This record gives sequence, C-alpha cells and structure tokens, in this order.
Amino acid sequence: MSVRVERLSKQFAGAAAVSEVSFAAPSGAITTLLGPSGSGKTTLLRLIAGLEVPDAGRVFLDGRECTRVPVQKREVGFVFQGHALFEHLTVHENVAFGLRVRRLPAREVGERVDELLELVQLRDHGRRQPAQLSGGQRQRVAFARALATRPRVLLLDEPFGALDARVRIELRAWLRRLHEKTQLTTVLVTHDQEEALELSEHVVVVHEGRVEQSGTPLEIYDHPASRFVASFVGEANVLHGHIRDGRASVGPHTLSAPAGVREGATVHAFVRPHDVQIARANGVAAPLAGAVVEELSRVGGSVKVALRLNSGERLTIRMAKGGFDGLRLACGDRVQVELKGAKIFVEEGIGI
Amino acid sequence: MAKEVLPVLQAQKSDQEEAALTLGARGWQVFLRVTLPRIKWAVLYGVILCNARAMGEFGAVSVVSGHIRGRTNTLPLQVEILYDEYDFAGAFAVASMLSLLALVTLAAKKLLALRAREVRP
Repeated sequence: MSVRVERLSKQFAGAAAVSEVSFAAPSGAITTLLGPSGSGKTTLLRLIAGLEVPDAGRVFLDGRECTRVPVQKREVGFVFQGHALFEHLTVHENVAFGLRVRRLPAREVGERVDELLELVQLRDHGRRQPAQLSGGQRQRVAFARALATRPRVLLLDEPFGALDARVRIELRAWLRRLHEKTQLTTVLVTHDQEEALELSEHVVVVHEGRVEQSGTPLEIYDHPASRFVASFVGEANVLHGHIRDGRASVGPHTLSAPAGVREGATVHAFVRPHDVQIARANGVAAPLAGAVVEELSRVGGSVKVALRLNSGERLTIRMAKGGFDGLRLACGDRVQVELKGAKIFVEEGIGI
Repeated sequence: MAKEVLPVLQAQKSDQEEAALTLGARGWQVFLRVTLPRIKWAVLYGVILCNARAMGEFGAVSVVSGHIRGRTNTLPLQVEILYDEYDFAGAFAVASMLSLLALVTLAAKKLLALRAREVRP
C-alpha cells in the first residue's frame, strides 16, 4: 500500500501552506516528512488523510486516486501530536471506537481491543481513563486506537512531539519494533532530524511548502541538494568565500566548485564537524590556515572543539576522544586546519 | 444557553472530533459520541437557565403576546390576573408556587454548575 501525491497545493487565507508538492512513500516503509515548524508538513499529512481538501493536485493511495474520497473512507490511521484521546471514554473504549462505529459484533470488538492493548503493552490498563496515564502511555493508546481498524496507511503527526526527551527516545525504539511487526506503510511528520534519520528509510525534506529534497537519510546527509537542507539536516559550519579561477576560495582554503559558475560569485561552504582535520601549528607553516582553540567540551565519546579561524570565522569540529588525547589541546592553543570535505553552494541567482 | 455551551466548545480543540473522523465516524456519530458527551453538562445548565428566564417573563409576554388566559400566559402574569380579579387566595397560591419553583431551579443550577465545572478541562 503506497502513498503518492502529485502537485498538491493548499492555501490558508491566501498564504500558500503547500505548493505543488509531489512525492511518493513506498509500500511497507516509514517515510518521514522532515521540516521546521510552519514548513507545511503537517498540512501535507492532513491532505493525505483527507482532513483537508487540496486546492489543486491529487492524492493516490495504493495507486488509486482518492483526492475526493472523504476521510472516513480512506482507511488511514492517524496519530495526532497531542494524542487526541476521547477523555470521557476509558482506554478500552477509546481503542474500540473505530470498531464500534463500524458496528462490529461486541465479541469481535473485545478480542481486537485486547489484541491491540497487548501489542502496545497496556493490557492491564483497559479500564483506566486517559487522564490516569502517563504521556507515553497515552500516545501508545493513540497508536492502538489508530491501528484497531486495520488501516492501510499509518499517518503520524509529530507523535512524540509533546513528550519529554527520554520518553521520546524510548518510544522511537518502540515504534521501530512496532513497525517491524506490522510492516505498515507509514508517513511520519517530524521536525526532529534525529528521529527522521533513525526511523525511516526514506526522508522528504519540506521547506516553505515545497519539497527541498527526498532520498535516503544518508543521501540527504552526504549530498544535500540545497543550502537549506545542508544547514537543517545535521550540524554544519558555514564558511563564506568567493569563486576565484573557477574554484571556491574560502579563507585560505581552495575547494573545487561546480562547473560554469561566475567568477567572483559568493560561495557558502558547508563543513560537517567531522570533516575537519586539525594539527598542532608548528611555527611558520601555512599561517593562513591557522586557528585558535576557543572552547573544548567533552560529549560522551567525542570532543567538541570550537575554533576561531584567522579569518575571524568560527568553526566547530568534532573529533574522537582518542585523536583528541593525542593532540593534548588546551584553550588558546594555535592549530592548523584542513578541510577534508565541504559542500559548496554558490549564491542563488547565479547558475550552478 | 448558547452563552453556556459556546465557551465549552471553544475551549476544546477539534482534535478529538478529527480523530473520530479518521476512525470512520460520520458527522452525526461524531456529534453523538464525542461532542455531546463533552458538552452535556453545559447544555443542561443552559437549559435550566433558559427555563428560569422563561418562567419569570412578564413584560414581553404582557405587551407582545397579549396574555390570553391559558394560552399565552406566564406565572407572573397569572398572579396579576388573579390579583386583579380579587382572587387573593389563588394569587398567593400561584405566587408561592412560583417562589418554590425558583428555589428548585436555583438548587438545580447550583448542582449543575458544580458538575459542569468538574467536567470542564
């Protein structure tokens, strides 16, 4: 059961929330719509669910067009950010809701609800009210309720957004296991890139109502298609420079630039924190590529080093603890910097 | 009544209604199973207030609908009619009944107000 949208557009009060978005979510996989808040990713999900009607474009579920099919008939499971459980019903009744409105026999409903409460590990909580559960438990009930009617697609709108960090990480692992069991086509909306990279095989980066890039998490991390993607996905340092002799000149570093760019154009070099090699400055060699260590902080097995380059720009790098110990760095030390890799973007408006 | 129900409706997000829709509920099922249970105390409270207002109506009925006995009449008007006909016993009986009803309404209102507040998020 795959999900596909074609040139989907939606405006709210004259402002475009989603414009001409096309993407496909492969069957049986988790696809993430990743973007900052206000990027239109939730609207996109609601359009797929049928909770919003698009101004233009088409939605396909399993290859069949369902742009005008009402939400009740789309057979989608939807999990909201704020769980949206029915507060006046018990956990059991919440999960049973979708089955009862379909008028299934009581015995069948009971069996299915027990099965689902078992699946979300809340078998003994059926008689409780949602208000008596913790945030993580409530969200699991919301999953059980969405799965009860055997939907063909599961749509998750920032399902862990309202939870605290520790519970979020637990539930992320839980969702992974759940997905392995159910193999249900899932579209997940999140602004948390870690969640996106960890949970899904396919990521669609959304920005200002448009798709910036789609691909596997690694493709997006290693080959960002735009400045926005490079800065939004993963940590990156931005260094500025110009095109000189067909190459990007960034401070003392010269990097290869895309062909056919205008001489003198401004370039932005995105450098991942682990794509920088540093060595102790030995006296006079290459003084231009030098930097001063401004700050050191140990984060688990790696060390974050904040440098101020001689050009005045700042650069944060990450290195393994082993390598760091070998250098015996301290604040104020002078080092030499070598960029091992950088993604170059030439100022917009000038052809790449 | 609208004054009582509207703020309750506005305070609740439409999340639960939307969740019901995605679970396959039709419009009327959403109203009966999700919306109504959440606003029922506010609705009842509104009904009581409406009733109190209607029972005590005097001026508007007297002037606009002509207070025809047994047809377009209210208790306060009935008191006036009986009093004007020098049926003091009748007038006082109806007046006492009106006061009693007022007390009952007041008690019901108090109870429901407590209940409605409990249910409100």
